[in-house]
Amino acid sequence: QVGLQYLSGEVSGGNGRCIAMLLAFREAIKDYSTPPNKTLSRDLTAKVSSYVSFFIECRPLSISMGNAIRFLKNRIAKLPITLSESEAKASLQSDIDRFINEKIVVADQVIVSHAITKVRDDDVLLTYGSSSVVEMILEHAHELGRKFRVIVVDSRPKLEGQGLLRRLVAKGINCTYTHINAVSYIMHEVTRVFLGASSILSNGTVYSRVGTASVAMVAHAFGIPVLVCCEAYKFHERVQLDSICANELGDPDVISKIPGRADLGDLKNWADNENLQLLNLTYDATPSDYVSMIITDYGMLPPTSVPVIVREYRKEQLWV
Amino acid sequence: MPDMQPLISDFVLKLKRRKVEGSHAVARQTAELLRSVVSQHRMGSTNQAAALADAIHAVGEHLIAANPIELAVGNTVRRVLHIIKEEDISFTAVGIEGLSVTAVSDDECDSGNDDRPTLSAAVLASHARNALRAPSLQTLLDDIPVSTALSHSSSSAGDSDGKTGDKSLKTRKLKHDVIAAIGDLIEEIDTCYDQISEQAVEHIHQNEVILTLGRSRTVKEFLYAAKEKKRSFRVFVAEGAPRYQGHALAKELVEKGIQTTVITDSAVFAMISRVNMVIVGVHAIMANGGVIAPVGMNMVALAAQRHAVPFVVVAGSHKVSFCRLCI
Repeated sequence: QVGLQYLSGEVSGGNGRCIAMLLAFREAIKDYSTPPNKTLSRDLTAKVSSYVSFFIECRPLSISMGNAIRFLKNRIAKLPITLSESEAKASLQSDIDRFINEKIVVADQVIVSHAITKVRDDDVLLTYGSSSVVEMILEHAHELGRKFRVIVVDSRPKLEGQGLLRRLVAKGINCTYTHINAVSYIMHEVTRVFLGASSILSNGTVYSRVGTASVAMVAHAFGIPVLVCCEAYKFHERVQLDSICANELGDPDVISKIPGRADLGDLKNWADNENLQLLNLTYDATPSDYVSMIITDYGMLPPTSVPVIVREYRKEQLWV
Repeated sequence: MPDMQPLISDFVLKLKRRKVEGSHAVARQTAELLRSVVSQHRMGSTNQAAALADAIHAVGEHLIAANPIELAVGNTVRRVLHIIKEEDISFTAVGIEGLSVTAVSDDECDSGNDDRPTLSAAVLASHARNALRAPSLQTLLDDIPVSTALSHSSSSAGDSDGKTGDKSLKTRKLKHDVIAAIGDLIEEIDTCYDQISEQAVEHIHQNEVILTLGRSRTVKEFLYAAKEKKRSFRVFVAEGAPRYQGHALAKELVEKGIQTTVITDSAVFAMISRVNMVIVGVHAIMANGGVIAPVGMNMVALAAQRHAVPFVVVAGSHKVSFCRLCI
């Protein structure tokens, strides 16, 4: 069921997908019973792998999901053999709950408390697409009574900013909405840029929704601080040089259809033509020099400190 | 020129209502309109060039006010004014010998005045000659307004030629030359695409990857020409929201057999690392080298700079503007 949700795009966003997946695993573990002649840990690991491949078929894994799966397999492997089946299952379920709680929910609260210090009165904040953490920051700042306004930048084909815009306006925050081409036009009004991330790589490169790099670049050109908010569990030790090396391709048909503009049907039969291709990238890599600061649950750090966090984080996983 | 008024008003209305779109069409129609103005203009016996320039200047101000964003209008008006000055100089150069144009005054930019500084040296020299010459009936009778320094040179040339009979001949010839020169200008505006496309082969070689945004006719012709010469290249076209003209350009390129990929504007930074060259068309080129281009071009330019990708602008000369605007 969760897989179908991924496919349709109902559940999207790094945190959302990760939580949905972990909850699905929790249910699966609850319903699981060890077949005879097999050890719990090995069989369960195999079952989890099969679930994971199903998820991958629906939609390629995000890095946050990859990390969570690694954590889960780690926990399964660490189970003492002496535990009975029900105890093992209970322990795993509590592990999953703890993971979700510590690494996502509480982490988000810590990030918000750090980031709030960066939002001052009369700020004009710019954000791109829809990030759950950034949304929390803005809502919290509004509750605290800070006076600021928000510029939501959006882009095709997902137009995720529209959802964020609706939710922010419903809370009573003063918002402006524009598309990504106009970034260099409005950037002179902006005081700070808040961006979310799908993952942060070892060399400080921010891997997030396509278009984030352009926004960060223009902000950098105007000398405006770019703050990236990301939970620590999303960090990854891989290094990526540009956006083409590893990326996710979305559905190309979405590019040819523009909702609300039926007159622009130039690319209707694009598949028939061998010379024409449509490319729908999902992610892109923002170089670390465009990022002023990364806000995580471990604190506020410069992009160069990311490898330290990755190292510490791995160690912590072993202790837990 | 009462008979010109309806034509002028018609064009002004078209500009205001954006019925005429695109710098090429605008420049062409402006030039044609000014040519009609010149041909309808009744040439006085003296200060013809100055009076003609004033008439064009007045019409030009109307046109520019109708649609200030269309810089092609102002550019064309200035070029016509320049043509008039040039034709006039070539006349006076016959009369005035040993003239070296050295000094250029630094007038502030204002439509029409910018073309006058080039003549200041000629004016000074003719002033000097006038002062030296004893006041004759000819000079006293000539109408010499203070604002148009041109009149001095034209009247002194008329003096040195001597006969009144020559003046009417000169009038017709000036008008004729100006009209011919404006015709050349129109032709230049029309053939700019061909001239630019001829240079395509020098810049596009083998296995190139080219990025462009939106849709520009100049870029399209440029790429067609390269394809004709059997260069192998592929093109990434960024959509260019909100008009999405990139889609139309992609369709046209594909019809000619060019390998095209359409990407969204947000993916420009992601793709530019794999691109050899960015070729774009613009709306206008400023005097300080800046350009006015469809929205989103700044992003593309910054990305190209970051990845050290050459950023090539192709545009006809009617887009080159005198202003030095910048944000």
